[in-house]
Amino acid sequence: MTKESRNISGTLEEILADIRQICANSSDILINRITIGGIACAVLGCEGMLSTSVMSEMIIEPLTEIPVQADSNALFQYIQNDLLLSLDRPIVRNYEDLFRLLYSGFAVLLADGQMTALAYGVQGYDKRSVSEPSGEANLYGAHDGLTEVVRTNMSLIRRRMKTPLLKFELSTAGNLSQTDICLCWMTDRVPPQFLRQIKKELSSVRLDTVLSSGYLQPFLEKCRGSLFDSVSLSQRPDVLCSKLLEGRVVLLIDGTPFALVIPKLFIENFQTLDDYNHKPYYAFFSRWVKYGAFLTAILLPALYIAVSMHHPELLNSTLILILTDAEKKAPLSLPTETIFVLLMYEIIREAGLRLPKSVGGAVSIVSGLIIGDAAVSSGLISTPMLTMTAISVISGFVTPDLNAPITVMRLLFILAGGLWGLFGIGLLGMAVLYNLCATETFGFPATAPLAPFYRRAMRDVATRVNFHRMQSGNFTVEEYHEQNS
Amino acid sequence: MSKIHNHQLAAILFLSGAWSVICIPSLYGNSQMISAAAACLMQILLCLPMLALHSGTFTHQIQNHKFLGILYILFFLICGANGFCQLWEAAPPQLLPASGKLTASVLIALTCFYTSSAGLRATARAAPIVMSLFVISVIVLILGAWRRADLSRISFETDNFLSGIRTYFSLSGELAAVWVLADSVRNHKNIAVNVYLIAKALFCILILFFSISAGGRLIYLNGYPFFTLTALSQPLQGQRADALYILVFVMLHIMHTTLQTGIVEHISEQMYPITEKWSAPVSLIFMLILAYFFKSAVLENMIFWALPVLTVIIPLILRTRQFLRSIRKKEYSYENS
Repeated sequence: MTKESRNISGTLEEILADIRQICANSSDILINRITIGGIACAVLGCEGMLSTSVMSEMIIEPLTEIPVQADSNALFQYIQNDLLLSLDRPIVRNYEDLFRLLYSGFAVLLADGQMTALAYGVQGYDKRSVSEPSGEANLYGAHDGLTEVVRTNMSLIRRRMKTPLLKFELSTAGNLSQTDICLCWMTDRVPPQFLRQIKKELSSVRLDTVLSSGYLQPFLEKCRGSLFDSVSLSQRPDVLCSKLLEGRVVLLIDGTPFALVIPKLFIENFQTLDDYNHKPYYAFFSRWVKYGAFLTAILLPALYIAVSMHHPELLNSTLILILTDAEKKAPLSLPTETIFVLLMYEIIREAGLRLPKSVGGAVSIVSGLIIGDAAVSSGLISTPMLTMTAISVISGFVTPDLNAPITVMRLLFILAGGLWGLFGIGLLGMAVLYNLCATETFGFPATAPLAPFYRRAMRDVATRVNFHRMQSGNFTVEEYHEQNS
Repeated sequence: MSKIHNHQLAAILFLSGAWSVICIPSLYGNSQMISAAAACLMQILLCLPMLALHSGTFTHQIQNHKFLGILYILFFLICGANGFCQLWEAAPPQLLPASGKLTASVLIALTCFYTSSAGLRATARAAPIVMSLFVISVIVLILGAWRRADLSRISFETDNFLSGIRTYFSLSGELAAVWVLADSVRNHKNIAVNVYLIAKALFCILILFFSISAGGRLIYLNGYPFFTLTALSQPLQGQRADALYILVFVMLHIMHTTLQTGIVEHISEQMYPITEKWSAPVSLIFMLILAYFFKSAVLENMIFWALPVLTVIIPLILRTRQFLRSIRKKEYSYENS
């Protein structure tokens, strides 16, 4: 048995010695000896994790006013029964819990002769305030987003769902980091079996730390080798509420403003909160624009290359003349040229992401104006090809969640189209379709409700009906669940 | 095997059958339309008892009768090989990449290796999506041919009626797949099978009708009604759209070969679980070898003669044995009591 997992025992001096030994005299552990009610005590805290004003007003001041007690048992009974120092006041019995609470911003009270400690939630660490999320922008929805603190995020969801059917379950992940994670679900909409499977997967995590959602995501995605996500991310509490209402499970992770939503359907990449704020006819239009943009982002450069190189009969005479004239001057072959431009774009994008925002603007100017203009005017790159690539890249921005698969598939389709024309595109298209169709998590196929086909679901896929019809749906994602036998 | 929906079964079978229809050279002439309709009716009559005989225990039966499993594996290998033969014989050179038909087959086999590894459930999910793309392309094809159609070219003849029925049957290798896949269909498998048979017959009749009415005598010179139709039907003015049908061609061939490979993989896995990892690549190599050494006509002949054995005779024998056994069991329990 390690020292950390041992129960608290011994005199106050021995307990404090144990604590110092376990934390290796870490500078951020504050140990204050104090006599309370005539008993030798110690108040412990972690520097920077607790609010000093709350600590002095709510804990120290009431404690110092306690009358003299017969022994430490009487003192703890008096504190527990007669004083309300904090709403969150667990009793600690072992060192493991003691350190977890200390490092979570609790104040811990130890008394001589007591084998337990009292902890009080007085967290007061610095945190980012609730602000608009950097991604998932929308016009009409709420503008608050999740923060890095799991409890704040729980409150953001609870504010929108004032029902006892919404349940939060806190636990920890990460052997060393002991990161707080919180599972949220609607008790009337999520089958216990599904929940059990998720908990089982989470309990199998043996990572030392969980620093972001990406650490846990692979444990919840059951399909290996898939290009597409079967678990989604969101920063928006309103989006999370809508997912919870559909019978999905949300996982909040302390330290990251991104929550995981299980399961994710492929079609959700094209649904935004604004779709439900616009009139149905416009939502229908914008949704089909998104479907078109996704296909354009992946296929346009590849089709351009395949048609120009292998099937020019598909073009009319005017287009052929324009393309021939443009390509005549370019020194590189079409696929090489396109791959070169796309790789340049990826490099510029990475540079723009990693650099400070002030320099990021300069990167855009240098890349867009100087490199782009110079490359075209010097004849290194042809204008039609650059136009196709630009349209494809911009189309990819319409579905930001699909950025990774779009980037990779676009390059692969260019290679296939360049080598084997439409035949190659057809082959790769089928491979990608099968990859998508094989993607599933916990028995939920990513391709639902298209494959398997659910006609009722088409009202929010092929179109978007108004809320008068939507409210009669009573839909949960469980409808799409497929058993293995 | 995972459960699949009945509409998925119908789509898989139809797409696999549609591949054979678009690749068959001898399917031309007015009489073939009547043959297709008659053959469809016959197949429905054949399938109804077949499904009635199906006791939902095919997997169990092939575990007990390994010879039976091997017979079915051989049949599906021949069907897959026939698909490659049809690719080599039917595909106009402009449809395939410049590097040649063998390269095209190897590329298709590699893709099928990946697609079959995704499992029959992925095939089932992909089928309705491919089906919808296929239906759109057929509508475009027909709209393009509509302008050239001349109904006076259509006449009802019966001279090649019987040979038409024979051809249509040799295109229906996937009927044996019904027997294997029926185990894993959730419900209403009869409806799925009937929808598939009627849709395939309608597709065949549509292709013949429009290729004859739009192409006239040309169809007798070119053969391959589907490819003739793609050449005749040009929905866009000033540019040719034939090449777009490469996508349809590739999609159908992959669906066809993936289905055969997937079923071979499934049967061999049931009989010998050790073959799980290598049954798909080995079966694809076998298909390519068979296709290389045999002509399509030979393989089609094999399919024609094997089909009644696999879809009627074997199910009948198995069902009868099962029935006799159950009677014997009852008698035994009666005597004992």
